Amino acid sequence: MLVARTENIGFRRSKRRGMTKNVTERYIRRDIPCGISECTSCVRNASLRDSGLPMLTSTLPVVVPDSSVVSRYIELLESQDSLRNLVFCQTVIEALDRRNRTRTIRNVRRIATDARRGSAVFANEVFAGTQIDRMHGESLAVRDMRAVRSAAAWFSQHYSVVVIVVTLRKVRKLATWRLGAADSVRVLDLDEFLATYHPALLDHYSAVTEATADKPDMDISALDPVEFAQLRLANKSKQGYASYWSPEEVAEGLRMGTLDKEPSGVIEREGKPDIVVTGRLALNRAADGDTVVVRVLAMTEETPGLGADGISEEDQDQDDADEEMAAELIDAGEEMAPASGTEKPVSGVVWRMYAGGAQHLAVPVNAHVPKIRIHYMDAAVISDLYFVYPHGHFIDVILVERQIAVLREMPVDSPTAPWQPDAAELIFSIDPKGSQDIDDAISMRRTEQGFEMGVHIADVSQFVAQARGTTVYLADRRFNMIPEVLSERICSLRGGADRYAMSVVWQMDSNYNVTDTWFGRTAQALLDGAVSAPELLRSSIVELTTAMRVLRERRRTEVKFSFDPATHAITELTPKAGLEIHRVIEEAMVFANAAVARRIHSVFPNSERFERLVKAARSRGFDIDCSSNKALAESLACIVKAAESSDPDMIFMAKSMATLAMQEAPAQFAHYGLALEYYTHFTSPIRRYADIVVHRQLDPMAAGSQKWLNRQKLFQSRYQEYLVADGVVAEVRTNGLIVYVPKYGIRGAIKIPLSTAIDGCTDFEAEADKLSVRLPINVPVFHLGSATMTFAVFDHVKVCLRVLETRRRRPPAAVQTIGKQPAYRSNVLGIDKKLGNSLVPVWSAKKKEKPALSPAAAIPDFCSKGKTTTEYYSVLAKFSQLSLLETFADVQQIEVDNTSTTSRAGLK
Amino acid sequence: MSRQELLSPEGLRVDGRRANELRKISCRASVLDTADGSAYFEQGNTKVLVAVYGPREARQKGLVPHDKALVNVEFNVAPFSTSERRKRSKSDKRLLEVSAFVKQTFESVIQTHVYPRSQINIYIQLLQHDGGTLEACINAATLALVDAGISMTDYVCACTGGFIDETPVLDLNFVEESSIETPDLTVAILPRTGKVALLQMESRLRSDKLEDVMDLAVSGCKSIHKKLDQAVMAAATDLSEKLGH
Repeated sequence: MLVARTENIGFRRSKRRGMTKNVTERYIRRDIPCGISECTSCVRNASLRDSGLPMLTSTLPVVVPDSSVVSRYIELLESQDSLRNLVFCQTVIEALDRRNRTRTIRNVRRIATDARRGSAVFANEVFAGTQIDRMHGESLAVRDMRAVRSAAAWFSQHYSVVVIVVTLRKVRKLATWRLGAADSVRVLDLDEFLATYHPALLDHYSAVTEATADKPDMDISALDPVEFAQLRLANKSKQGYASYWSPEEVAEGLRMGTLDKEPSGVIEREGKPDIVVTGRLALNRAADGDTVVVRVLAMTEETPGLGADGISEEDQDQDDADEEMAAELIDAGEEMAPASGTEKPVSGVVWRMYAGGAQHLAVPVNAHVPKIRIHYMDAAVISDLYFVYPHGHFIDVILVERQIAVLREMPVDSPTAPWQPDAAELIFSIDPKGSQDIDDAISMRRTEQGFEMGVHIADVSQFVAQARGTTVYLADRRFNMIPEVLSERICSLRGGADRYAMSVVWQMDSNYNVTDTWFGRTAQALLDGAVSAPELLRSSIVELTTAMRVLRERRRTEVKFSFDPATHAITELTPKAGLEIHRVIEEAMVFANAAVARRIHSVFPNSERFERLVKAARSRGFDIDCSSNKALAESLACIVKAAESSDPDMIFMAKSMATLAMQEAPAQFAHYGLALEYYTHFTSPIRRYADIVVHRQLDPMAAGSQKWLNRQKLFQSRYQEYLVADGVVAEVRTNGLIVYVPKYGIRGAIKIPLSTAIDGCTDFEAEADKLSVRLPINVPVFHLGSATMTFAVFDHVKVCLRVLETRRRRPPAAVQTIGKQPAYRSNVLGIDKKLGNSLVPVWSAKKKEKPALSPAAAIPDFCSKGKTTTEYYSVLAKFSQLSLLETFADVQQIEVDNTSTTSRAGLK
Repeated sequence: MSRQELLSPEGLRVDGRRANELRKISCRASVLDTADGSAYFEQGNTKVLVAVYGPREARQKGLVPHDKALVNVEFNVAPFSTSERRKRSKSDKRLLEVSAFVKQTFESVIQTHVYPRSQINIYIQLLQHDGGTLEACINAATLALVDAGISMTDYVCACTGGFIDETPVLDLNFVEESSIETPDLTVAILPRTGKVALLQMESRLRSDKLEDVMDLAVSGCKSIHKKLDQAVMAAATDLSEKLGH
């Protein structure tokens, strides 16, 4: 079936090899099936059907998008199920491949394997009926267009079916030739095509157009590979770091006082305002702990990341931003910073792989350390990452770095000077003999004021990667939650060994009243109590026992049940010996758990959600009674009844807000059995994953800083650039909105620059929960009737989502762009409907720039009434059936993040 | 199609072949006048020239066994054979490996006992490289040995097989071969008896799939055998015409 053989000749320039000529052969064949299910002349159609790939249909027009459409509007093509019967030419896939658009190719494949879409990839480049050669002097882009049209022409001749080539206007101009018979093929621009066949998608189209307007490399067809490479190169050169100043210049600058020598990061200087160095470029390769020389820049409005904004974009550490000065780093050389030249181990998680597994990107646990690139196999250097990340090398599966508060000096234990336990430093555990996984230990000593009691829990959280979640118990075996090497050796607090621990230390007076509580990471040397020093232990244990008796008495309401073994069918029961010392340990652990719970709750004081719910409901004229579960349920039922037919989204939002609020109900923290107001699981991290979570929550508090991890893996892996989605306004803040996107369960903040909010954003009414936005002066809004737009809770908006570029392990999603959605709004502005398509309903989604309000915000189009939003409902319905619980969990996670943003940036 | 897609869901490979198709093969015997036997062999874009000298008196008599001939293989890669022009040293381990495989294969097929105390030299020159070097070398050497009139028990036909996306594929080209995950199995068989003369694999393959891949490679060997046979017949016809028969 191979009828001919051609050769593709290409040239490739690479850093290492220079210019090379690549020759690949290609066999042209006749047996490529058309893929139309009704066609009987293509023999291979049968095998195509057998392989389970979707087939085209002749009842609908066959739509052939060319590479300009696919490369720029793939998001539109993929997300809209109504676009069916698409034919993706191999030419397009190869053009994408030449530009390394792997993700787009994957999206195309996803469409072409989705049975509902009835779309296919057509191997036109190897088919004798459609293959064409590049003509002399013809550009590759033009040849590709010709190839796509030749494929379309073949389709129209092969089977009586309407064939439409979809292209973009600017590319269409390039097509100067005539294809003879191929003129039977209709060539339409994408917007013409959508207007004729799918008018409902025009909104989406214009949103994508706007979002990609400033990304010329999104559309691969307009540029030649050479131009494209130049464009990439130009972008890349912008990313490069400025070179360090020479030592002489630095010395001169320091002498003159124009430069400062400081540690990097947010630089605190006594007596002078702090210096903030924002952005990767300004940081200029400096890492945490380096000593650097900085030049203080003039304070300008354009300085990135500065300003006392409510929702801080870049970094949440800018509390007193207005007092800070911007600076750029000009030197972090080794002469200035001996620390930067030395190697130090850093713990991290391998996050991404490059170059077929040869390159890995490790993301350190410590957010101050930049991502580290690791060579794993010998492979070609990835040139475009060359500048961005420091090199590292792989040491061990677990690389450990810790911040340890040294409670006491670590003891020296050598053969010549064996370590003798000191009565003042006794840390011991009391466990049955032969116990392997010991996760708790206790210390007790007398101080001048009274007592110091400590509970030390194995520090598992630093060793455990998040992928491993729980221990699995099967009938005959057990898969440990954490590997044995950790559970039984490294983490287990065994006698005579030095271990890391998470400690709670209380200072007590002589009446066992707690005067001070301390939390933190410690390094513990443990006493092998049973063997080495029983007499030393005894006094401690006696003190401990006394203390515990007092403490237990204090929570007197403990209820005990005793069962009569005779009434049960159990014939043989060997009860554990009820030694008092076990109860003492138990009591100490309960005490520690309670202390940790209280502490965590004090740092996450998110008890405002009921208020938010009540406030939001009131804005729509509903009253919510939160006095009891029953009252709340009745209030919600009332809302459901009233809004069932008019606004299901609002019901959904109200319910989800209520669910969130329920999670924080104070009663959740209490332990009735132990009669404690706050209780959590903290003391058994080896056995219980929940405890590790608690450790992680406690850790940043103990370390004195607040860092949060966002879990939006799904979002990040699916969407590289941006995504337009429907959202609902969940909260209105003084300088922005919190928008909830139900489809992805994401809540995000949209910051509205102060200059656009009316009168410096004073138009905030606590009762009405509304935010008015004035459109920028340069937007021709006079025919809109009004220059302002009002957002209120439960308003439907269109948002543009993208993943933020941050140093975090999982960059949080940013909800950046809004346009208003028509649905269910009664007080829409009276706006000229025709304006719709020319104005674009999104803000410019440019990275790193603050979202500037563009004409988009006018959104007349969305305000037209009576538009159906069926797709939105179907998504919602699916969503509510499938993953309500999971989504709430996600929301909870993100919500925590938001709270921290809010409270710290002073948004409220 | 694309670099990531060695085998598309539609069943097409990067160069437009299906999984069980060989590349285009063309070959000719007696291309060099000075050599005792010679052959030129093309498989797709892989091009090999082989010259055979011998049997002739051994140079180093001490090394030659008294009852059979010594087979000596030298493999050379032209600097211009790849897209990047690079000169390889004679002691390059990859080259030595290929020549060792070829030598090993032919030692068992050439009837060396017919030529005691003599030496047979096989010089292989790779002119263009596009995957499947070893198979092309073995096929070309067979043709050249036949051309030289050296007695052999059978033809030796070699072919490669691979395994991409759960599918056995035949005759890997350079792109497919250089992908890390693709196992690359070279099989040389004696087509008359079906005996395996060489079985060599790079990378890893699940053991339960080995048989499938081998079956496919053996079927490839059989079609290569037909091509070689045609070339031998053509050369013989040519020769008989020249002799005026």
